[in-house]
Amino acid sequence: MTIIKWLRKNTFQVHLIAFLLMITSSVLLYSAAERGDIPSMWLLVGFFITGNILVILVR
Amino acid sequence: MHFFLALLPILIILVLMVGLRWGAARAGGAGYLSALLLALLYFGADVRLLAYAHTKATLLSLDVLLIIWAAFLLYRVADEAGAIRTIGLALPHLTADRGMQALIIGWVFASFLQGVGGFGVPVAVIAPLLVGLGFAPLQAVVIPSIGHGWAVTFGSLGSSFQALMASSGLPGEMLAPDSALFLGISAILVGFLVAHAAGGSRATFRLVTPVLILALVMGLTQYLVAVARLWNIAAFSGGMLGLLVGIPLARKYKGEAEEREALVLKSLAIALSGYVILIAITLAVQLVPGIGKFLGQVVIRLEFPELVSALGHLTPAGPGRSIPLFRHPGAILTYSSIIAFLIYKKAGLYQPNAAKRIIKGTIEKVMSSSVSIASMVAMAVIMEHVGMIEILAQGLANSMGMAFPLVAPWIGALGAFMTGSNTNSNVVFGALQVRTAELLNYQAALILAGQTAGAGLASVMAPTKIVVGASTAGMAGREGDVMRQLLVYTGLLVLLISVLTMASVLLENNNLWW
Repeated sequence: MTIIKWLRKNTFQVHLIAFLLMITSSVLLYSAAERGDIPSMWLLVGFFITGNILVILVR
Repeated sequence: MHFFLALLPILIILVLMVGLRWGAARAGGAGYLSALLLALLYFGADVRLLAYAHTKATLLSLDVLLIIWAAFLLYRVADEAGAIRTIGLALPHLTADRGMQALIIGWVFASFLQGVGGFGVPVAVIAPLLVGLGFAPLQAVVIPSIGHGWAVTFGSLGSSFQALMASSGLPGEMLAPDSALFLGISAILVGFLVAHAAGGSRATFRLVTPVLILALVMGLTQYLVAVARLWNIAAFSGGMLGLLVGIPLARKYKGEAEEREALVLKSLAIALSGYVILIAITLAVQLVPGIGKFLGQVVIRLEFPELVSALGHLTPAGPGRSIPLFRHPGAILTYSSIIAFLIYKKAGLYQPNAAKRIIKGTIEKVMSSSVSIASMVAMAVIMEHVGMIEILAQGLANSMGMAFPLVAPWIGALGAFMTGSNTNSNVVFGALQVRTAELLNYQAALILAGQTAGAGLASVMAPTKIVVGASTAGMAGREGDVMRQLLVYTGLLVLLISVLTMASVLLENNNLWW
């Protein structure tokens, strides 16, 4: 509950973190896909998903 | 069932934004997550397909975001120096005629501001200006809202048009002529609607001549500049030339003169210098081959393999979006911002720590839209790669058939209303419109012109923009009044685009187009 409250009070910071998570994970996904590294691909898609969940938690 | 599930991410965004009033960033995140889940669980995506789709989406997002970031930077550079205020204060000096003030400030100046800034800036800047001139608050919000709609697609220094190119995969040379033509024609109706909002039918009939002259100048300029491949300055050039023609024109409609401060031409010239720099740099990069070639040496470009979903949907191999880092419109805007900053600084227009405030203000303002674009583009690219767009296009083609050109602009308008921007609407619906046009054997450029023109004109009544406009004119809490009035005006404009799209398709299919 406290974490969600903090997220909602710091919208800009959360958007910044979410955006950086999405951009960096996408860039790294390309090299993981080229190598065929499936665990890394799942992990990086997970980062992208996390970025979006963070944004949803912010009002 | 396939069709409904393919439509679900778009429906989720619509319900969350319109029904539950979520912001574009939150709703975009929910749309992305739903598309990802559906792609994995129902439409046969594997992690390799998702990995490449995410990278492609990020390239597309960066292509659009570089312009949005730099366009807002240039706006902040000018605004911090007081340049926008100086230009705005100079305009009421020209005429005391209410109708003419509405045309020059609420239409021409609003279009100019949309050309250079966008992001709700025209209404936010102009509504208080019109209230100060004695317009009713409702008029003060409605006039600039309608007035800048025709300049949205090529406005914000071309970001919505860039999104249209990115999402459709079609070159700007193919898309620009029809889009600029439809928007140019809509500018005539926009002018009359602005005159009507300012003074009813009497003002509309009285101002026929200036409306036609200004619409012709702005619409034709935007068309010619866009066709010359300078789409990032097309709306801006239209607005700029509109101001140059509108100033002497306004003097013919002086009305009852009032006492005002003397107009300082030197201040006005300095205020406009930042934008003159932008024109000069853009022309130099586009027209001097040596400069363009030199700046175009560093290109971000990735090759993607052929991808097939478990359900058999095939995405052919090929390069993703290429980004020429130092020749990109975003880079050109950044060079212009730096030079404009130095000019304004030399003229002593900045308070201490201006650079810090400009950068901080820019980053804070663009972050939310950056997140929403990243999410929505990822959603659209995933949907495309697993065949969801194809299913939607098939469904639309089967159900709409010959009437599809009439519906295409309303799809764009709906997208802009629900996502709050022409850019987002083009991202979400661009590929769908192209595929449906292909299935029905219609020229994709015409359908996309309908999409982006409908989206641009309807973007002015997105709830987020109305809230900003109403708050700056002291109408907070009365957003419903603004929405009701805009609904009629915007409906007429999208209807016009709908008829234009259908007529163009019929002419094209019967080889009657000149």
